[in-house]
Amino acid sequence: MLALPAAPAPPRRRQLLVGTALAAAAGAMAIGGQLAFYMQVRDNAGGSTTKWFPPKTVVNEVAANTMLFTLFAASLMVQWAVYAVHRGDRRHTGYALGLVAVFGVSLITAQARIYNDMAVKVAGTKQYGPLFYGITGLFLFLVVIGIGFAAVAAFRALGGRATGADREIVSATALWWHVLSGVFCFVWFVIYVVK
Amino acid sequence: MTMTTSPTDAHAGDHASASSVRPYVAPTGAAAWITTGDHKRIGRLFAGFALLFGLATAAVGALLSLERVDESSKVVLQADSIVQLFSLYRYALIYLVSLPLLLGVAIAVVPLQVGARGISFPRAAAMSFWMWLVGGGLMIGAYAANGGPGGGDTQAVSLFLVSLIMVLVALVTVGVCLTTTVLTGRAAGMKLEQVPALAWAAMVTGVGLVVSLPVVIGNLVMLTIDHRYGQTLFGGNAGVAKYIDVAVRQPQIYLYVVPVLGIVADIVATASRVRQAVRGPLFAAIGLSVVLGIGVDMQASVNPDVRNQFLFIFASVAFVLPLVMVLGWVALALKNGKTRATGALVLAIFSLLLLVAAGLLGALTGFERLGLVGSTYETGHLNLVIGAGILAGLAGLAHWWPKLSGRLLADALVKLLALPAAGAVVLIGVMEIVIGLADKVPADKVKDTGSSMAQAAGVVGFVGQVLLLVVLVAFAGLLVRASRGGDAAGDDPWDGQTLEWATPSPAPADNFASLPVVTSAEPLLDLKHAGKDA
Repeated sequence: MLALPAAPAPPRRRQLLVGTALAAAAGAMAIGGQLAFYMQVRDNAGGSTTKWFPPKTVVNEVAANTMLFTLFAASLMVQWAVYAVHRGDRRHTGYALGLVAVFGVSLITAQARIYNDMAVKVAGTKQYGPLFYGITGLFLFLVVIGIGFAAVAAFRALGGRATGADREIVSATALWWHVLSGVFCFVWFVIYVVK
Repeated sequence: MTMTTSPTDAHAGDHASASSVRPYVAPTGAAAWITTGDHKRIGRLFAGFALLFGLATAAVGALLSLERVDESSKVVLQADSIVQLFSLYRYALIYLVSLPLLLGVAIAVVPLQVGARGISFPRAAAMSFWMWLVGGGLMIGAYAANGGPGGGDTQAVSLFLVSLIMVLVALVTVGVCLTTTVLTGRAAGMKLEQVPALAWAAMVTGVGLVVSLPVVIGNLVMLTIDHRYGQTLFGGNAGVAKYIDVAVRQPQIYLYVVPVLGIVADIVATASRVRQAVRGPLFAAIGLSVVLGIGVDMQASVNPDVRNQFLFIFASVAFVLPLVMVLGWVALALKNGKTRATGALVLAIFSLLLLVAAGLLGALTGFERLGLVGSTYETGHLNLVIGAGILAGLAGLAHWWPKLSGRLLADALVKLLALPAAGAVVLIGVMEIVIGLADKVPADKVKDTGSSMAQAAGVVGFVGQVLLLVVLVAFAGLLVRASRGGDAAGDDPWDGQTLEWATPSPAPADNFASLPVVTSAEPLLDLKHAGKDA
């Protein structure tokens, strides 16, 4: 065998961050595609008329707005975690990531409240129902992944395994939550404002 | 980054070195394959099961062709199962055979090509294989239970939708793993423009899969909810097909065969045995084919006008451009090189020629007024495109099998199989194209088509499918025979130029004993020239 001369150890190229960016792009494309589909079907059905939006249905806008601001807060908290882990502050990293996870759970409860108040049935709404639940449900799934991500990062930080070169997991968690916040801006506008 | 490495294969030595704990014993036999995080094994699992699914798909294709032989009465199948089998054929051909075969080759080879010790996220790659396999099994099971688009059993149709989601999520995960490997796992000194063509093609295809398949997944999620609880929006069992058809039609089907260009270019470069001067246009052509191949935004189900819009027509017509660029590059490489005609090279050239022909024929379906959309012309075109993918997958396996197994395939037999393999794809596709062009026969209609050539199309298609079946069985037999008792392959059996040939055959779990220095796109050639100069 021809032996090539040994090279120095390759520089770290942020494998987890790149992988997370691609996964986040996939999630954003899934929701983006759904929103485009929603707008096209809505347009075909007559826009804002009752042919499209189920009559006598009231959107709980307070809960929807709360979700939006909760996501902004989660973005802030996760950036706090990045700041803390860069300073080697394990305790604050754990606090921040724990808060992100709690905010994630609160997003699920807010969405459940919206489902409960709207009481939209899939079968009785012709077109709105499956699209509404499909988009918001997939977004919730991405939130659940984010909660898991934050929890793993928090445990690793508290266990001392997210320091130095291994702090990338916290940056990756932050990227995921920032993308979630950005995606929800569109979900909020299309589903809860434009309807 | 301990959470992203697999302890099963790559780091067995680390465990063994700790004297205070029980030494890690790597699993052997079937357990080693089931629990593996080694990209070479995951790639071979993908390719192996894709070949198995290929046998089943060719059998389904043969049955469908057989039905055309008698226009007026049924031969084998029930009338209502023909539509289902037709859709099974299309989905299986793409998502269970061609794309996994090409991705399997890429998973096995790309980390070696870029000098990485393994694939990025090996557990995710392993998970993607098992999810794909289970999803594929469920998909076939759903069809067997009278599901699939147009099926009669609502629950089985729902099962089909869920299984397709599983398969697509698995393929997106593979895209993430491959792209991350090329972007972050390259050896020191290897710039992105210096990666081998297959690594480049795998990376850009990965990006294409990541941005396009989730759109289909999003549709499937809404479709599943509607189908399970309401069946009001998407038209129940019979209506689901048109909302996901965009994923198995032009131009999206082109995305699934972009790795063909990388496989062909690498095999040609190795066979030519000289340094390739022109790499920029080749990489540009491969990248352009991904850009033109992303077509999930062109959903005629909600926007019927989309097929008359400029973007659709442009993508359909322009796809042949990157193919011609690659063909020109291949011709130049073969002309300037000291070419050795291996079996893999012959298969690769046939694959590229078929793809170029398919690209030219596909340009016609860009014009809806010709009435070819939805006809057998489209099916024939699909068969040519995906058939080219299968041929390239076989070429890739023939080329890199020595590195993966340490054994040489019987090259003369590979050459012998190349012509029937290409002939099978031509036979399967050509008559479908002819009757589609001449008589506008609807794609899923095999009875009372009104075409005078339908019977001939049935016979020719049946012969083609049976021939493909024989070729796949023979090729699988060659792989097994080589693995069990083939001649031992040297580390560099093809006089290669890239890093995968700089490590022992079969490649060890960690790929490289030490990470090599790279200063050009052909690091092994550099070393050989340096040795000669000295």
